[in-house]
Amino acid sequence: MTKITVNGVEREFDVEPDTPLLWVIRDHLGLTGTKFGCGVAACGACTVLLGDEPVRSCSVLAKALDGASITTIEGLSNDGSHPVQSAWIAEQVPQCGYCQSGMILAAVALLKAKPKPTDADIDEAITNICRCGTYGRVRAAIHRAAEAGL
Amino acid sequence: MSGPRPSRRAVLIGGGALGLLVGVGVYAASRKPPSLAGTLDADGAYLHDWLHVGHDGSVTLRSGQSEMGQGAFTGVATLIAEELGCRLDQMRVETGPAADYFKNIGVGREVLSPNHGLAMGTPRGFLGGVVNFVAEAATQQITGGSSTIVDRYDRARAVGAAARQMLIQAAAKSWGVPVGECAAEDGAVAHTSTKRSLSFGALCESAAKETPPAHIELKAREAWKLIGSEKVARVDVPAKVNGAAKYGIDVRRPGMVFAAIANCPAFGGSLKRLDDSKAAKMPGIVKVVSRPDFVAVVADTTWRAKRALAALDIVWSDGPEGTDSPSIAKALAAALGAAGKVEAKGDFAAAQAGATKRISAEYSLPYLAHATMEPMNCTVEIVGDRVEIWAPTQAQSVTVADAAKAASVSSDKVNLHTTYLGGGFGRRLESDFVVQAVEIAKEVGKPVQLLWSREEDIQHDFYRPMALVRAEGGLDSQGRPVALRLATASQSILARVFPPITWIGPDFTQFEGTVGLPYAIPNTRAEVATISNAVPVGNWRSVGHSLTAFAKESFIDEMAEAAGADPLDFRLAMLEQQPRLIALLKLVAQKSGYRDKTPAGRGRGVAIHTSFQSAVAEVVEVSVGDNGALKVERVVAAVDCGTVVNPDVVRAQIEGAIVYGLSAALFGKITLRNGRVEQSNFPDYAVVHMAQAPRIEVHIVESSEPPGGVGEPGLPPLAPALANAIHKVTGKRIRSLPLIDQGFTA
Repeated sequence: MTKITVNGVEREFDVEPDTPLLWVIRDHLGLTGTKFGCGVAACGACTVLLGDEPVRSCSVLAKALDGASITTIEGLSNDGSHPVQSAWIAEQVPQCGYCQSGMILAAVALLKAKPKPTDADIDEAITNICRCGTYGRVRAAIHRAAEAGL
Repeated sequence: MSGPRPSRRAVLIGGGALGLLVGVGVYAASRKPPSLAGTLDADGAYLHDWLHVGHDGSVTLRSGQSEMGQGAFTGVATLIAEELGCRLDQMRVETGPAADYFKNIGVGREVLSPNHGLAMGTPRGFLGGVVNFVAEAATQQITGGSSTIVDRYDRARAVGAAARQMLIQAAAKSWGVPVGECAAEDGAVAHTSTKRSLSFGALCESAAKETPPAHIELKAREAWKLIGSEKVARVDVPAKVNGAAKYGIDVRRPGMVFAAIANCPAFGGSLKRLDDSKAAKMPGIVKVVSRPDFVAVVADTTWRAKRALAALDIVWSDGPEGTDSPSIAKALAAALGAAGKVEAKGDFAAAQAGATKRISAEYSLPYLAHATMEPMNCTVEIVGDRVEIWAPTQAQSVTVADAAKAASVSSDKVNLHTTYLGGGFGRRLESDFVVQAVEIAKEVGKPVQLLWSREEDIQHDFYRPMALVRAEGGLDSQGRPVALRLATASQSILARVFPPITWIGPDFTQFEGTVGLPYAIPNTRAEVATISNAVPVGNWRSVGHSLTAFAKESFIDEMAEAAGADPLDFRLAMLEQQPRLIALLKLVAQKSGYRDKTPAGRGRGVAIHTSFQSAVAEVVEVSVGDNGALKVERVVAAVDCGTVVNPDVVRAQIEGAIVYGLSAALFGKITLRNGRVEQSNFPDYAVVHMAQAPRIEVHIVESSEPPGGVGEPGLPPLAPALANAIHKVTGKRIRSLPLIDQGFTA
């Protein structure tokens, strides 16, 4: 049995040790906001926060997780009131929306580490893929959230 | 798999009208759930099959169009709310079932577009009948061809206006006042002189008993509050920032199991031998399901299915020989020599022979995958003879027809729930993943969710066809263009997905963009040649235009160079009879500073193209380093899409199409070896990331013309404008994509 804290709540699960965190979150903990995109840590659709660090949950294994604290998209706020979510709404960022959970958590991690990121910081930190091409709005929303402060 | 599917193969009986009817029946899969219009439920009443009004005053659009990020929910809800007399925040949107009352008439009409080179105008008699039959068959429930607003613009407003009238009639009756003294606004009907008001919620039941008006009067454009407004936010955005939006992959059913799949890696190959002894002993395994073209493992969780799939020992046979990129390139080159005419204006051969200056060029483009962020998936639950399907699909009519066939039930036994789509771009017009999920569900007796890996998604797509376009042009002694020939060789998409089109002419998706040219060139000729092979091809954002615009707009630049003219001026001179296009080019030139000086190593290129009834002009500004390092600095687009329903959605779609087109231009290629796709995931099928995304500005021309599409038209001009910009900087002509194969890095 592995114990982790997810969005502030203690959860337990029992899986094969090679099970990626992504599938623990989706199939065992029932939180479907975190998405599967590539399975090889290339696209970032499965990004969650491990502590304050953004990780690609498809490539973090369950066996390394005991005692860990995880934040998923569901843990930011239900009503879209987290400053990054508000900025996302203000800039009308999402199109299909599938990559946006990961994109938002990558942005939250960036803003925690660098409250006023430059464009270069954003280029370096946001390596998630969006096939709808929302990058310009993601950039604008990160700057907007930085203005508001986390 | 490749080749026509039996379910959609034309059933022609002797080529007569009866045969056509039978053939058309196969495509226009009909599904007629009972109409809900005028009926009540626990929450309120249906004033139309598309529209429910709740006792709580909520107005719900039941959408027949899929939401894949393109704003269909918001656009159609806006059209209804505008006429109904409510705010958009009073509206909800949910997807309706597959139903004939949701069919997309706009797509059927698109088949008849003169720009599809049917070369028959509006034919009469038997041929006219055939054309109309085909258009009828193309009228399916489908979200594609940038057609949602084109189709729904009049129809959704009429639904809103009729419902408004029913609500007003009900209110007027209850007050005993003339209908003409009542008005609907903000979700209520008001009788102004007596200051009485009734909410839509209070009126919904009585309104449902009213007869919809025979004559529907729509609001004057000047009275619009929502259509064209900058203040209307997308209805789907809040659920897409908190994880609440449900995609296909998020469907959960009690007792469900999960399937992972391996498709036959070689197109045209099949399963030879399967050893599942190791996998069958792994934890949580429910079943291994095999078919000639796939093997699937079903388990109690997604991960257990995936790891057991990897433990299978499978031997597949190869497909037909010659299914590799070099052979296909040779076949395209050979086919071009025998290209057939699809459109001719003047006398190209004579004009070209008499031209002072003659140039020619060949443009080659690769296969491309869609790579939607949400990999293919489908959830199926079979109970008795009822088949419940949850799918992120763009094609409800086809999905129901193919699922019914796979489950051996009639289509009225199939209940399709369309989820949010994690990207579509044309990939989800296909039903392959639905049919597989039905096949698997038949064997496990539990609700099952099939989810493809990214590798399966890249290697088993319906690809944008590989193509070769030959362009020839002639200039007179003053440098004026007198002749242009564009000949395209590629595979046919519609021969597989919609063969009736071949009854009335060649597949327009192969040559669209080379016919009906707006340029005043007196002698033009468009030709097409078709090859076939085992590689499945399909509709990829902007379809044929993604190929032909690159060739056409690159070659126009080459002609300008041969004429010693600036590429922008050269185009303007050929568009004197096209005021809308002239205005677009001037706007994009002004906003981009096209004529301003650029520092060394930087340059601008322009292109303009009309597709899906909208025109887009783009100026790309690019920097090229000494080592070929490309940076696309800025893209400025000007759009004429007629009447705009939501300007921010239009901007978002053009931005998105530019990035999608840039991914393809810089990196995109699918190559084949021994019938197998060589790429497998984002590390080797690269796409644009944040650091490579240019600044994009979109300028929309004000227009009161009927709306055109916006999901696709932003894509075609991007690659040629970029190639033209690179030529400006380097002097090198780009005639083949992607750019990473042409000595550039990005």
